Amino acid sequence: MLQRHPFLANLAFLIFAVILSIAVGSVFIPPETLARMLAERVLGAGSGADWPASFAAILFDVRIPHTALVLLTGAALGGSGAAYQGLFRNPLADPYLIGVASGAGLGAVLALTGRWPVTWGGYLSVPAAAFLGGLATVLLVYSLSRTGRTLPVTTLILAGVAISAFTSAVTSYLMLRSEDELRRAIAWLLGGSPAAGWPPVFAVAPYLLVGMAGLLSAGHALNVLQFGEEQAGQLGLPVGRAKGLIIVAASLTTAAAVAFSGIIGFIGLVVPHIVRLVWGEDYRRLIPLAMLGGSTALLLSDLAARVVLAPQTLPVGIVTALAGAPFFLWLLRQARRRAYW
Amino acid sequence: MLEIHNLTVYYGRHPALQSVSLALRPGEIAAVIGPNGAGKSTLVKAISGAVPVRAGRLTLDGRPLESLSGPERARRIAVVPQGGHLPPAFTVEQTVLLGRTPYLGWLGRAGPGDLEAVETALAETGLTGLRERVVSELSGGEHQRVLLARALAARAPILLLDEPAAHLDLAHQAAIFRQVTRLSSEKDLAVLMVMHDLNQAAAYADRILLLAAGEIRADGTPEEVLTRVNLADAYGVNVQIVPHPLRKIPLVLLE
Repeated sequence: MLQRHPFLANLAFLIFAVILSIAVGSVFIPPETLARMLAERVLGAGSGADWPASFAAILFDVRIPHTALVLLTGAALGGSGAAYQGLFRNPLADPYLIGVASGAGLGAVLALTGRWPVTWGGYLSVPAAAFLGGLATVLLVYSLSRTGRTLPVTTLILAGVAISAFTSAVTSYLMLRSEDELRRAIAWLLGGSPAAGWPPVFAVAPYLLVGMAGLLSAGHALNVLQFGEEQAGQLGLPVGRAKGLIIVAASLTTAAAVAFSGIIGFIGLVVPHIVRLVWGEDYRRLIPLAMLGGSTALLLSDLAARVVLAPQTLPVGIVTALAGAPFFLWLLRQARRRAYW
Repeated sequence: MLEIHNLTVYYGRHPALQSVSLALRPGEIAAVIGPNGAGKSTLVKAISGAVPVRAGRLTLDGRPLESLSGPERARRIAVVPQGGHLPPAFTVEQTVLLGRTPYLGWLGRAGPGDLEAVETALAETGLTGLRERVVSELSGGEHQRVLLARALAARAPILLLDEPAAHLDLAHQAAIFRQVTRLSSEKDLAVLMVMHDLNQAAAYADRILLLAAGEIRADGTPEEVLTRVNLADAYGVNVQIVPHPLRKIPLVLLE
């Protein structure tokens, strides 16, 4: 089942995580009540509301939009992580480590510094600014770490860390300069916690759909690029165009994730690796599976963040870092052993 | 037929190839020999479009190569690159199928024709039984056969090989070269092969091109090219040429 039907298996995990995410929280809504509430809302089938009145507000105004945003964010992080790893042919590339997430975060905070958005135009401008920030960062990191025709892992990561530190400093400065309420919102986002309500979901969706469609289409190009740019060109792949499309799509996807969920590390690193270990390295399959797996992983991390210190909620970035950093170190040792560099 | 007139390639300010001219006919196997840094690999890269051409005219059956799109060129010219890196986690079949890239669209969806070309290429290189194996588990000889199969899958009339037998033992070297010569005669392929071993060049090629300092110093049959004077001039070493005991080819011995 797991080996032969990767999509079914991942979809089953995801559905399980979605139900948990909607049911569990400060108030537990039993799955059976959940099903009846949904049936009533969607089908209008009034079987008698025997649940507390507050349940409807919790479910439809809080839990479901929150779950939707986390689901989209996780898919974006998993998919863009897989794409960056493929593009840079580097097992350690992920939107967080190469600085794209911080750059996108700076863009988003710049767009937010005035005030928290209240209009649709305001909401939609946040991911757009995040996209510009993320794209500028990835191009900068790429050109800084490129030596001749190669892209050494160490310089890529070091350049990413340096640019990250710089953009994070600018972001912190902007945040401290802003007004009280906004400052809290931004601080919360930078720790990696999704904003609340439906508007952020609808604001990131269009960017995400375009970015993810681009990534999903690029699986074959990423496969060919694994031979290196020279061989890819000899095989007839339009290398420049393919790289451009992948960078734009991955940055768009990362930006959409960062805009209202903040900077969340390690999902984009860990999930593609697990997928690769279990189902092999065909990017036409790896990208969609990393999206499904990213959603599941982030939903479960978010759930842990909500229940560990309940009723207090931790920033989900803490959970993903606690689980992901040890994995990263393990990977680093593996990579060294396999002589990746 | 591939025709090259006065091909000149620069790396930065350094000339790598200067006014190289040659023609390659279908069914012909040409070996490119010469000292390190002579421009052998550059010649392969220039023909396959991997390095920019400073000057000169490259035509294929009368059509200028630069008028072909990337996929059009890749359908006509297939390459086995030097030390060709293969992604370690790819399977043999997956790798060979990517040799069909010039025929596949952006999404890489393979049709029955593509799968059949892959089957044939796997069979021709004796890899059918290894199709599910992951590249990192292959031996050096198998790795080279995968590169050859990937090139064959493109069904290109011209095959460029850059040291296809490097780092292989004697038996595997012979196997690769026999495969190439057999395929060339069966399919009427024009083959240009960069080689280091002069005696193997004499044994497997119809024609030898001696390259030194970016220029062609000699072009002809093994007897014509492998002479004391030519080799002393190109490599700066003294050699003895003796007749091969079994075949009518020269044998080069270091003095």
